[in-house]
Amino acid sequence: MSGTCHRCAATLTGDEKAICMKLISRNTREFYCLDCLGEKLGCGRGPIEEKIRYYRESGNCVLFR
Amino acid sequence: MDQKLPGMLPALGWNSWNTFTWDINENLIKRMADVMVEEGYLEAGYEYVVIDDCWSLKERDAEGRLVPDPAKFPNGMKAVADYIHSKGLKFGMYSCAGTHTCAGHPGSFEHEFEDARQFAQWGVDYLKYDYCFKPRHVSGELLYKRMSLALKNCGRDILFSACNWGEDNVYQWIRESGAHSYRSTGDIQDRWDSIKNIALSQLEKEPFTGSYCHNDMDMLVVGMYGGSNSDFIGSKIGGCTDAQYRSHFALWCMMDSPLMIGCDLRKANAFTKELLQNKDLLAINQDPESRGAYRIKVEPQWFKAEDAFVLAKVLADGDIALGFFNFSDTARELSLQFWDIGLPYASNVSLSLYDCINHKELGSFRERYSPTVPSGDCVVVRAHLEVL
Repeated sequence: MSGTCHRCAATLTGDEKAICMKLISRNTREFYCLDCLGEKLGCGRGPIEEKIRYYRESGNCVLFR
Repeated sequence: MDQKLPGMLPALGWNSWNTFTWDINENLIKRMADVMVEEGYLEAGYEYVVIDDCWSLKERDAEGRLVPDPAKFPNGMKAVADYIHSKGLKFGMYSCAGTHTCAGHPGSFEHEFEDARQFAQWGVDYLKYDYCFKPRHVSGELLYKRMSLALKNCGRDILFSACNWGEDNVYQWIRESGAHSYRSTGDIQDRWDSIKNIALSQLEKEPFTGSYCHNDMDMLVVGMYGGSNSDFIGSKIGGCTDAQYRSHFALWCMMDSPLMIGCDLRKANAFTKELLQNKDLLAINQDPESRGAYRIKVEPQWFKAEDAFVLAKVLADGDIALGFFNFSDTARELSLQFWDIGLPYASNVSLSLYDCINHKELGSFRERYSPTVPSGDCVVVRAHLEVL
């Protein structure tokens, strides 16, 4: 698993890697920082941050425990 | 053939994960089963109601058995299965080859035979078998072969839906494992780029699909429009146009994939319902010979292969299904030369074309057919040979 953003080479946090696995694919080989992922998905980083909060608060997603 | 054996054709049904993920319960599943019957999905062929991950407690009981979460399924799984069977449907469940499921519930690793017997006792007809938390030192191939044997010897016909995401050279061993279908890709998302990437990744893999072992390109996102169990953020992430959903469904139909509906059927709009119940596309998917579709690069030659292509699927009655897919950003005229499906002008054969999307005859064509296909959309025809 890469520790840097595929697009801008920024160092990735655990949450950034986890949300890529949720929003791209469980076995994705390409990981992105929130800004680049937001650009890739066409939604900006805001909705992605909301999604991370949602998964963490639900307690139901192993990637965000 | 008098009886359709499990896995002979791609499975058709509904799965809880795409829309509901962990937010499932007995009433929801029963209501979905009701809708499948009331709204014509069962009549169209969709027979499986599949509960995905998060149905069990986080620990097995003292005897090592899986326990349905009583908060979600207070009457147990047999009651759910009995209800679904009473509607004329079949009941599907979920487990995992690893120690835990992807959501952290108990997997069937080293519990394969007892879990298979438990599923049989509950009345399960279909098992989706995921791949999270597989111990690194254990061969995934062996685990799928093991569960296949467990299911085939549990006392009940249970369709085995392997789900190892295409990992570990799955194409080389999955048919011989006994699985009736196998996930060949990572998880689908409700986005056009996800649909395109999955479809493109499975082209030229048509030898690796067919009766009793179908290439499963993941559950359908048709009709989701960005909706999922995190609706509070709306459809800012995800959602496709109707044309893109049409292409998605047509691709899955032509490429012999199981069709597992993933949207909330209670909220399905008219377009979604009509598309999912399109009898002409379903007939292609459910063709008795279950052959894969091969790709033909369209003319003109300068089109990129990943931007536009034709799929051809030979059908049991001698017809050919032809799908014209435009993945580019602009509308394009896509030309299929009949030479490229084995029919030169000298063969004295014309093709009578039937539009499977709009359900109408298009007439007879000789040498070529060149529809204009909007961006993200498709044209699917059923071609009947006419000897002149």
